[in-house]
Amino acid sequence: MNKTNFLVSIKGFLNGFAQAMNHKATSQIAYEITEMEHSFALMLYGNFVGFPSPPMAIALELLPVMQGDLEKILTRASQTGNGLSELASVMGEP
Amino acid sequence: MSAVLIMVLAFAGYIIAYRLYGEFIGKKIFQLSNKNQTPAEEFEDGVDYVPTKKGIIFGHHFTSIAGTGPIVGPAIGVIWGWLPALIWVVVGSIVMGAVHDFSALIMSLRTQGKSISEIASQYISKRIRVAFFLIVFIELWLFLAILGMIIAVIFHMYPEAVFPVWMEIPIALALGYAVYRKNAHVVRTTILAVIAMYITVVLGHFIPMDMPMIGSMPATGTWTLILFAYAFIASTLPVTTLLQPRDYINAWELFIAMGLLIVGIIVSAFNGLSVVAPAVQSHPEGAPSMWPFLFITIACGAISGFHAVVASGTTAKQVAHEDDAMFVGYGSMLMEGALAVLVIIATVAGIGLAAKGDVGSVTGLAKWTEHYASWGSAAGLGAKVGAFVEGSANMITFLGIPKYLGIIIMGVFVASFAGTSLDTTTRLQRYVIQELLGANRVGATDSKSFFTNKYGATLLALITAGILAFSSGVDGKGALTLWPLFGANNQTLAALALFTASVYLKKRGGKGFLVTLLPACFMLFMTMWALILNQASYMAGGQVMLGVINIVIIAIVVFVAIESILALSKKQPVVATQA
Repeated sequence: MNKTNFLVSIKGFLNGFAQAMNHKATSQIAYEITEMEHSFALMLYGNFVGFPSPPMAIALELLPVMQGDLEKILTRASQTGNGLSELASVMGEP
Repeated sequence: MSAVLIMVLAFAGYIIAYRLYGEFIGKKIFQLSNKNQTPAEEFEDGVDYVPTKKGIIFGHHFTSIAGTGPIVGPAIGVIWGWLPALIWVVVGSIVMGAVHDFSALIMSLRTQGKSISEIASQYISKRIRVAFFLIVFIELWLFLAILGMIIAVIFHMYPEAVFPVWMEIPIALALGYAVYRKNAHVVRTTILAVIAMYITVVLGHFIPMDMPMIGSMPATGTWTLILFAYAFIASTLPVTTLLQPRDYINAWELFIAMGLLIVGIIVSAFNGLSVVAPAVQSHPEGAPSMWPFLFITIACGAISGFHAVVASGTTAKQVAHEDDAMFVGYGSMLMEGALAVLVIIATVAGIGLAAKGDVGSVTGLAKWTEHYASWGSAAGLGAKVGAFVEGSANMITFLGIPKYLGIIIMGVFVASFAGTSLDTTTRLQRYVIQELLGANRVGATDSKSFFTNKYGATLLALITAGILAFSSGVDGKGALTLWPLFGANNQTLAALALFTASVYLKKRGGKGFLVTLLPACFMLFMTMWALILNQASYMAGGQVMLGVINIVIIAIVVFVAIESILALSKKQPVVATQA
């Protein structure tokens, strides 16, 4: 391996590591955003589970915009089950 | 014995094991196939399920599983000599730890990214879910109590490390503010933050902060209280404010420390680095017997049950192809084993090395004995962690870094890692408390219920940990008493994940389930043995609280064993396809 190839390899390794770090950082933020999305959805459509909702007109007006989010929430509810693993995954092992 | 030879042989062993045993497990036992859709492919939504490059997932997963455990465990475990610790770390991580992590990941991949508790409920019994949450609660409880004392002991032993560790907080806050609020360039800001952090390390030498004794409270006790107060604040803030930027800086710190250690070992090998510790020290004074305690003292560097929890979280939702699971699941555990090997070398060779320019100080076996003559020698846990800090500092002096600076760099590295772990563990424990209390009372999850809202649950997590931390004194020895309990509990979780994998493999037919069943039985046997010895010791010492916790863990181990045997003895239909 010549000097240039070696330096390119080192740069590639460092870039890969930096990308992984950024990925981890991003996933931590994404987790918090997800939590906020859940709160927002619950605030708007809490009626489904017995929570008081904002005026129906506002909730219905926002319903089409929330379609994608509601689909994601349903997927999470049926496939995840336990948030501890996700939390441990994004935060890291204690 | 040459330390560099140990490093080279261990690393070569890991590469060969990955190629041979890893491939065997992946291709023959779990029959990895890219034809099987991963959750990331099947449910791709750009948010939760995102197919990601395996190199990135590997880095993410590795930094998630590499915490304080692989440093502290081996640093204590070498008290029985370098050879047993090294064999356990290398062989254990290859045939148990990596198999455990990989099987948890692959099971999750084949059950739509479900978590290990869900998978265990599915394959063993629904009752196991309660045991799972209890194990996790006890694990986090013990670890919180230990972490506060580890940092407190480091602060007490190395007052020069106090300033840099606390200064990392404003640096992390500034990094977070610059990147998230001001859209600063990530790479440039990261470089600046890391440089700033190492500048504080240099300044730390001139600003040692020694905590005086307050009343009858020794420094370690005062630091523990301060750190718990910090943990309360840090873990109730949004993650982007402090935890995430601090974790980000720590990841770079880990990367730099590992690099310094590897290069330090190679360079100091030409300057007299050799193993000074005895190959085996069967009966160190006051220490529990090597069999079975070695296998629970070194948990994370060889096998850790919590890795299954991490692997079945977001990792399983982002692996793009099934083949990648080998590199991510099996490979990252071997990398953690490599980190544990570096810690072992620092504590059995680096500690006895005469640092560059250091004349007249105690070196060789005499220096090692200062730290490891007995279980409680010097300051118990502090002496063991100190052996890693000092051993590493000795080796990196040959890279031109003065010893005083090396000690601060390594002291800050361990303390910062433990600091982030303290914050993370508090958050996880808060979640577990909210789940446990919230699930059993109607309306308990609303903010009016004190112990299930963010602040109440956090307070409960810290108060219970504080009671435990101060139950056996505040001089650092208490944490050493708690460590075997933590290890036993963690290994119970590992056995549970391995039993789940065994049932899963048995369902698929053939004898392949033995690759997970044998490690599961080994871990369960060692854990039970250690717990019984623990119980005798706690009863003799009148340690009621530890005795009660120990009995609870014994009950869980028995429960896990019975449920697993029942699940394994059921006639399983052969499942040829995915899941």
